Amino acid sequence: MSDATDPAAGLPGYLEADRLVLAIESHLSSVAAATAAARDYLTARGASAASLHDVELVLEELSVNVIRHASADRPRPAMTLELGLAADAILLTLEDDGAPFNPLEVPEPVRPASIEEARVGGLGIMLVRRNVRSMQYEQRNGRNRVSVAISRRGAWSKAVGAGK
Amino acid sequence: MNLQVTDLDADIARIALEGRLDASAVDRIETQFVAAVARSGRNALVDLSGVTFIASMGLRMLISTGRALRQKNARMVLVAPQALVKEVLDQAALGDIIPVVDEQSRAVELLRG
Repeated sequence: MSDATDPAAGLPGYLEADRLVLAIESHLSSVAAATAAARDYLTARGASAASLHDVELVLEELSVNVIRHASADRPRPAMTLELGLAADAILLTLEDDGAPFNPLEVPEPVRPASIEEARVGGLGIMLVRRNVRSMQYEQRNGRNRVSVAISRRGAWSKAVGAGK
Repeated sequence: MNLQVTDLDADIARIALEGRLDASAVDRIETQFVAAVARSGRNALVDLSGVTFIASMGLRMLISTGRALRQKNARMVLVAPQALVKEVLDQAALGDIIPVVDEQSRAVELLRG
């Protein structure tokens, strides 16, 4: 899978109008519910096990990041997930009303030489980068908005554009 | 997420994890996992064959527990990750710092060697 390194890469348009749009609260149980809904949405559209996994991983990392880095000075952030299909990609956007935070600015963790030197910061965003084709960030109406395109992979059971 | 501990011998504890290792699961299981691994400072053979999903919080749990083991001069080896889990381990280059093998026998060899 290619790294998401070009923030200027345009995201392809949506194939279908019926995106999944969900609210996610700052609780891990809410993330779990959103993940289950995302799985159902994608499974109904013939997603492969590998693509389901990619979306789950990216959603987990982005949403848990918002929850974990929430500022103590502000109300716990509310998030909105948008999920849809393009011709060759799954498009996922996570918007949150937490303090401004651009994941594109998170540095790659330094590769440790041994477990004694291992540090655990930055792993989540690194995993997102490894699993998306492109990632964009913008501040819109005071909200953080992260949009990624995840290449479809594995054997999808329905042709692109086929009925649900 | 379930955890099961068996003693392979006096020096190796086998800890089998089963289910999803997402942030929510780590929250619930970490104390138990750390206790199982750190108990008596034995080497830890962590069987991942039943783990269907791992994310960064799961990696953090493995790394921090593995590091604590090193401080007791014991080691951790990860065994038999499923294909999609192994992809994540490889993306994080976890194998550079904690050995990942496909077979329990190989893990035992590494820990006894």
